[in-house]
Amino acid sequence: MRAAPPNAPRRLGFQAFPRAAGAMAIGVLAACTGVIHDPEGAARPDASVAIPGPLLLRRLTNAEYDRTVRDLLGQTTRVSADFPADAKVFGFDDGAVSLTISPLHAERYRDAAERIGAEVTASPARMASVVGCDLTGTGRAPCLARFVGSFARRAYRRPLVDAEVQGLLHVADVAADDPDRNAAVALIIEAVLQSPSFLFRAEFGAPDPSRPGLYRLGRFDLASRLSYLLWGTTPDDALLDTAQAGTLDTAEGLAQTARTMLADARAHEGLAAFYGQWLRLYTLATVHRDATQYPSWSPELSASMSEETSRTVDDLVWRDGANFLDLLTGHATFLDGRLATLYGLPPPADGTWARTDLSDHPERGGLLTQASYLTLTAHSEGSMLIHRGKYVREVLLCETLPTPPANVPTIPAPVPGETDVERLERHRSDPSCNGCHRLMDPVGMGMHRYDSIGAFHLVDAQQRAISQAGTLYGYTPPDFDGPTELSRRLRDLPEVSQCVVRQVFRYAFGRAEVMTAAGDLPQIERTTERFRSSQYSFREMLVSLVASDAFRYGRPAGGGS
Amino acid sequence: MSPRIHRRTLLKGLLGGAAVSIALPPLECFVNANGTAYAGGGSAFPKRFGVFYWGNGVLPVRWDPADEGPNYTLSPQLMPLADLKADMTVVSQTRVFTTNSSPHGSGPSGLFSGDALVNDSFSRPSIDQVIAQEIGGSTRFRSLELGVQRSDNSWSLAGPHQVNPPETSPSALFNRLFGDGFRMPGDMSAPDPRMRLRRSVLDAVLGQATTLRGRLGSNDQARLDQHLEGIRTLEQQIANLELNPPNLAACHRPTMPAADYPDVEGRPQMSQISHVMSDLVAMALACDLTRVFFNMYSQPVNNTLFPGATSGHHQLTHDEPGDQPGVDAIVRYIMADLAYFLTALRSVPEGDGNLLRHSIVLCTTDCSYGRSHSIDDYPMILAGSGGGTLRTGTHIAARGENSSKVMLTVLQAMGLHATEYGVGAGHATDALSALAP
Repeated sequence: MRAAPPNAPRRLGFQAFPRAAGAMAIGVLAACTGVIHDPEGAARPDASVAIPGPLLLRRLTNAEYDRTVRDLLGQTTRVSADFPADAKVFGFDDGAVSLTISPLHAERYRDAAERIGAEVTASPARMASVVGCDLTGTGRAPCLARFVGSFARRAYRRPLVDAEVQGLLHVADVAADDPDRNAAVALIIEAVLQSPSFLFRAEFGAPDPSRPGLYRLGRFDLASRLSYLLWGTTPDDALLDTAQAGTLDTAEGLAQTARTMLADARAHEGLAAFYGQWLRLYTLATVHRDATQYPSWSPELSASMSEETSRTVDDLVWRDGANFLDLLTGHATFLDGRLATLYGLPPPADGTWARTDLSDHPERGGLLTQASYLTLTAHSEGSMLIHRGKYVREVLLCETLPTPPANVPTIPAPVPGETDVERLERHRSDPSCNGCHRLMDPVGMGMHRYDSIGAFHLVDAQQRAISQAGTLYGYTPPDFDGPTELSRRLRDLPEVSQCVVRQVFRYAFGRAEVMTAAGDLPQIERTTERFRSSQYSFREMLVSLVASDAFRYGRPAGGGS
Repeated sequence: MSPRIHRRTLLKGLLGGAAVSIALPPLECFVNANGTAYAGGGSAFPKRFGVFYWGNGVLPVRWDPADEGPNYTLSPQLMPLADLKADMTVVSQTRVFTTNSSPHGSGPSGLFSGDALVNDSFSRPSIDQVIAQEIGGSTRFRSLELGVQRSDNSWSLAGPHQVNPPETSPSALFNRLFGDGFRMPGDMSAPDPRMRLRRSVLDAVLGQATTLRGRLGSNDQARLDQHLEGIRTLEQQIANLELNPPNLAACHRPTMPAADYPDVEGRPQMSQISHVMSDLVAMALACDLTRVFFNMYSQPVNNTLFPGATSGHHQLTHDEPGDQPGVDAIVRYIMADLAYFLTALRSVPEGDGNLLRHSIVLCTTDCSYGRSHSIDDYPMILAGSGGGTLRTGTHIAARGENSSKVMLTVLQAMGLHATEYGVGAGHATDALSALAP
């Protein structure tokens, strides 16, 4: 197991679960008294040399599995619906440490492999595209060999060694007498889809004499890293060919290939997989609201909320010249009829999605005024303000707040007549609670005019004016008035732009970043600098990350054999 | 390669070389030459072990019985178990000695793994997996993990970060147990020819894995080995199918449960699901499909909206003022579901006894008082006598004792030759003598 970073208290995530929390634990705020600083790194004269992280065997996430079998074999059903769900760590499902294969997983992978094998071989169209040669007569053996060579190379994301090819052809022999001439293909598909070389992304690398102690990733390892980061799915033949030709052996070649890949339609889906998790949009699918309290609530409205933010981010990622930090302060958004009604804005002319200018609507503009954020943080009325503040700290500032320690008093029960704000103030009057909650509650109070489905109100049910005065402790000046001012303030914080990079880093490497000079800090600073110098072009930031040493090198995890 | 040897090696690896002395009883001794009856363990029937776990603790003042011994009076929260009083022992007042750093996480870690959380995970396999390594090898499922609340989290871990996710859909659990691959007792028909192909595929997978394994570092090898263990279990299932199933009188294929148990007005149908799951587990044990189970009834920190509750379970444990009648009702609701579960086991006759009597079911939660997350006075019930190796029908108030002693007692009662349990503060070398029959 990876050692915890020095001085980092160990923590459990919100779910209080080893699997959910263990994979990517990082340093937390020491006693919640301020933001993370790294005196060691700041004092270090040359913090420019990146120390790459460990190489880890990473199981495909369920989402990656689905996209991968779709691209390999034309499987269009979501096979992973039957798999155990992947743990979410920092919102991401790709934490390498927690991606293991239990006996139940093994059963479900077998069932999926058998189903996919049967469906492919029952479909002449899929057989033609997957195999594409004649399995009868004297052509059978060369056809099977060709199929194994091409299919398994794509499935394993690298060329096979001879023993692997022979093993797969041997399976085909078992079905030699089967009246169904396609049976051998089904068996090969089953074996490949259950093989660890398919289910895990193994990264081998090789020692680099010029970088003692480090492994340089192999060209096929890099093809997989690129592909799952940028496309969210398996490399295709063209990318494997690019790797085989040696193009990925240099930083320049990686950058150039990444640019080509970003121009491919698959990158839209791939990057959406990142930001949907970073911004926790996936949680909206499980939000429920009481129909009597919120008559406008529906699963469709919840989906629209997610869609608004997705379209906003897509616009900032893919529009040339867009500044990604406009996510916080943009004066336009994308609305459909449902959301427009919720926001009290005129619905789009044709009722479907349209870019909407918000210049005349100061209460809207930027992520912190979008219904997605305002709704998914409202686990309950009483804790809504806490979680809105927690989200700002964790998702946008990359601070890590600890769960309440054992044996401390918890949020008090409401007293009749007490407002949420008063209740939280009473809770914070206990010094042992105030240490952490002063970081969260006063931030969330800035968004108090938005209810738990994101509708805007100036007064509460008793017609009392709702304050939107908030405080972001640890930053100067701390006080702010409402989400617009907070967002403007956040946008200018170097911690926020760096946090975007840190979140990409977590997702790209399937682990927590270590914010020390001997860890990942130098690389994160360099990538952040590139983000800044490109006027916050998300794509340029990605390109610089994939061309970096952090991407190209690794440390062997544990002893080799 | 013998699966048993492999398991021993794996176990040793998982425990990181920590001192464990577990003798491996020969698995074959459980089944006689005909495969029609069982022998060994002091009982004509195999011993089973299981965990029934629920989240968010209890109210200790309403959980702990006021008096001790065989004539104790059931506490209010234990009242739903009145009919099972003779079949179980309440163990109160033990402490989880390992550090309490994580609400709802430290208790299960200390109890089920015998160690504090390490890198936010168990450092060792959970007790069900320790037992499964010993007695799970001859059944179709080495162990069975299930739950009632929909979730993929569990305290059943094969090793650090190696969670065994629970099956929480009754119909999926039914299909897994009694769908393809289930043979009725006495079924002498030839095995499905498809199994030969499946075995060839699995052989090929193992071959592919061997090539990969040689190229990996040791940490990665451990992760790969867990995968291979799963593949070998699949092969074992085929081997079991080729044996004639034992002619177990009580075994039959249950009826297919409903495809779905949707929430009713935002409230999951906990009891309805739990009852179906209980009947499926009882039949899985009766048919000897497995001998070890872990039932995650509900999750730590779960905010399930129980019938009649004004708020989610976890929320209530912290927010409800006074004596917390809402929390009390939820605990009693869960105990009623536990009673159904244990009764389902008891209603399966085995020889002159019943399934529950041949089992040990550890029933427990993640903390004592949910509101404060304390792990002193840990709530535990041991149901079943393990075929006469555990005392039942009493309340033992083991004041200040290390909860690991209870776990060591369970291991020994299950027939494992364990002499210690836990590490660090959780280490224990003595059993809890009051639990001896």
